[in-house]
Amino acid sequence: MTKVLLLAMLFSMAINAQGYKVGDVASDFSLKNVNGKMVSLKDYSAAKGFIVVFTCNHCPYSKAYEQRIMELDKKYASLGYPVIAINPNDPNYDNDDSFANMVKRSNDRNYTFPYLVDETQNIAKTYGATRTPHVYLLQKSGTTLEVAYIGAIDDNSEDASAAQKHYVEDAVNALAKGQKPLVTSAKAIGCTIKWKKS
Amino acid sequence: MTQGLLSQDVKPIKFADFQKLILKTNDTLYVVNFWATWCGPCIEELPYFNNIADRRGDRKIMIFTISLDSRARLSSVIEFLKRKPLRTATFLLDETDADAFIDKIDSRWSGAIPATVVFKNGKIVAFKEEKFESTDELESFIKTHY
Repeated sequence: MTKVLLLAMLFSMAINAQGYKVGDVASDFSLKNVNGKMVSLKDYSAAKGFIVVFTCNHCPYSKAYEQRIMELDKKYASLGYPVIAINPNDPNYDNDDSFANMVKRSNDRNYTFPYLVDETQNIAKTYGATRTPHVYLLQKSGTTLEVAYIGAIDDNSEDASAAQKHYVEDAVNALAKGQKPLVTSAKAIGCTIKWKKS
Repeated sequence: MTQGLLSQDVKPIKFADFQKLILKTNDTLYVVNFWATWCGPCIEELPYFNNIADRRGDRKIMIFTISLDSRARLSSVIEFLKRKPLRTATFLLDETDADAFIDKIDSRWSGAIPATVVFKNGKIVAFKEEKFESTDELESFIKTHY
């Protein structure tokens, strides 16, 4: 019995470690927003999909992409693809990532999108996020959410205006036209997610 | 065995040229660490790479510490290395499109740093996308392949 349990545990850990691939069905969640309210994707009945971004306050790459994340929401929320930002980091690693500092950041920068805390880190693990920022573009299909793109926002972390490939924008534009994105994944350098020490 | 380059002399390098340095057919183990001056966990583990460089004795191990800071930050990297010298071969990877090179290192690498890869005879023998907690942990990561 113990052996079976152990195997089941190992199996589920292996699934978690792997996370989602493009085409997988993504699960919804209920996470606390900076305004104290819980947010789920099912709350957005009019949305056609979501730009889910695992990000945080402290990571320089997240900071470098912050403005671009804000612009993605401004550009695509009205087209049915709002940004949902999730901070998966253990704030014990860097207090910049504490809930209080998330609230502050969101207010200071006037985020137009929810900034959620993944306190148990289970959503980041389920999705397979490993770094910040890490995007999962989801497309609604009936009641399910399908992963349409995973990865980087664009190909130039340092200078948005010098980016040649706008991965997320191109993918959302394709989805909005009812097409499949041509590029479904792209990697970028980022900060590791700060996992809780077990 | 000499590392051939003092870290204070950190130079930008293109990915193709960097590959030529590590993909060699010989009996040397190439340990490659990807870091950046902005990356807290990376900086914490850099001394372990110095320690490995110091204790490698007559083992044929080359240690590369590759900064993923942007080219525009080269002077900051040089300043950083003046304060925290590295006794490893140090370069700044002069590329902006990370998607173009990450998978060429290892498809398991998501792009998060720190990341450490060990090459032998042009092939990857070990990969880790996380910080080492001690020199001993890094030593055992390398040792099994030497």
